[in-house]
Amino acid sequence: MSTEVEQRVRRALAGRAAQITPERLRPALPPTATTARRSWLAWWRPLLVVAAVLVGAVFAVRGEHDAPLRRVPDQPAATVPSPPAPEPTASSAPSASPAAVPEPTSTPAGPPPGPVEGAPTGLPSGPVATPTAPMASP
Amino acid sequence: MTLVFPLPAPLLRLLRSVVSSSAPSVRGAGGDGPPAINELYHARRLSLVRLAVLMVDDLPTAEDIVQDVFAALYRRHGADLESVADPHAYLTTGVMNAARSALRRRRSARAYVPPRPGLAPAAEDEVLLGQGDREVLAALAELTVRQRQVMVLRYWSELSEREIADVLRVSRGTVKSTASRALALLRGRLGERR
Repeated sequence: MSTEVEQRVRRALAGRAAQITPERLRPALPPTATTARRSWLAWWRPLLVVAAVLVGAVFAVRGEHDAPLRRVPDQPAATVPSPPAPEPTASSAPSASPAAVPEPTSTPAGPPPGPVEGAPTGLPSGPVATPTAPMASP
Repeated sequence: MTLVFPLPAPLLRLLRSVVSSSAPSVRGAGGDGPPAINELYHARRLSLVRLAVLMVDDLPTAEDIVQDVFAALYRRHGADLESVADPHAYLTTGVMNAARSALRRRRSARAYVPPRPGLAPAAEDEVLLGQGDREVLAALAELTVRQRQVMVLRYWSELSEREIADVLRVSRGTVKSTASRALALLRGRLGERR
């Protein structure tokens, strides 16, 4: 039991829907084909994030373990150059210098022996050695 | 000794979708559960596009709506659709919601930019429709979105009031009152034009 308006509505909707034929539709792929690529890309994103987090964690753990190991070799490096120069003050200086300023003392201590060893080829030591020899020989 | 790593929920969903998409996605028609999404796509695409056209009036928008609804269904539930109780109702609801959004966007846009007057419909659209049908469709286009949804679901999809209420997620009484109000409006408009 339907009224005339209902019949007209039904007929108009059916006519409009009948205009949409399969030939008029654009060719389209099912969603598994279209979104598979996106999900494949998205599949790598969490992996990359996890890998980045793991790498970060490994570096953080290594940093914590390596930090004391690096300080240990620094101490001998600071004490090695100190004995040759200040032998008279060895009793007072070595105890304070490695703990207080290991790096600065080692670097200044390095250069002084350097120029001394390399001095024979340099100007200051050369003239000093050569004049003494001729002066003594005549 | 077994190590158990608690995976985050998005990763689990991702792995599940990868596994389900690598499985054969098209199940036979005689399967027990709901049909696979590819089969559903081939079976329902045309009728859903027609449904969307009856709501939004133009074919390209209707095709986009249907494609988006299928893509959303696949993204959310995978290819096997085991977690969807009624995929057909799900798709109908999705198309109706998307059509409603499209119509709202269009109406708000037309509030600022009115459409050109005298825009002729496509020649293919004129072939099968008589003058009376065009009048009815024009009167339907003047209804509210909700009234139009009820009219289309009732007189083209041939759904019952209860099914319409389920699809639109409103009460059965709302469907009944909306339908009677829409019919009264149509009766008045079509009567006036006659």
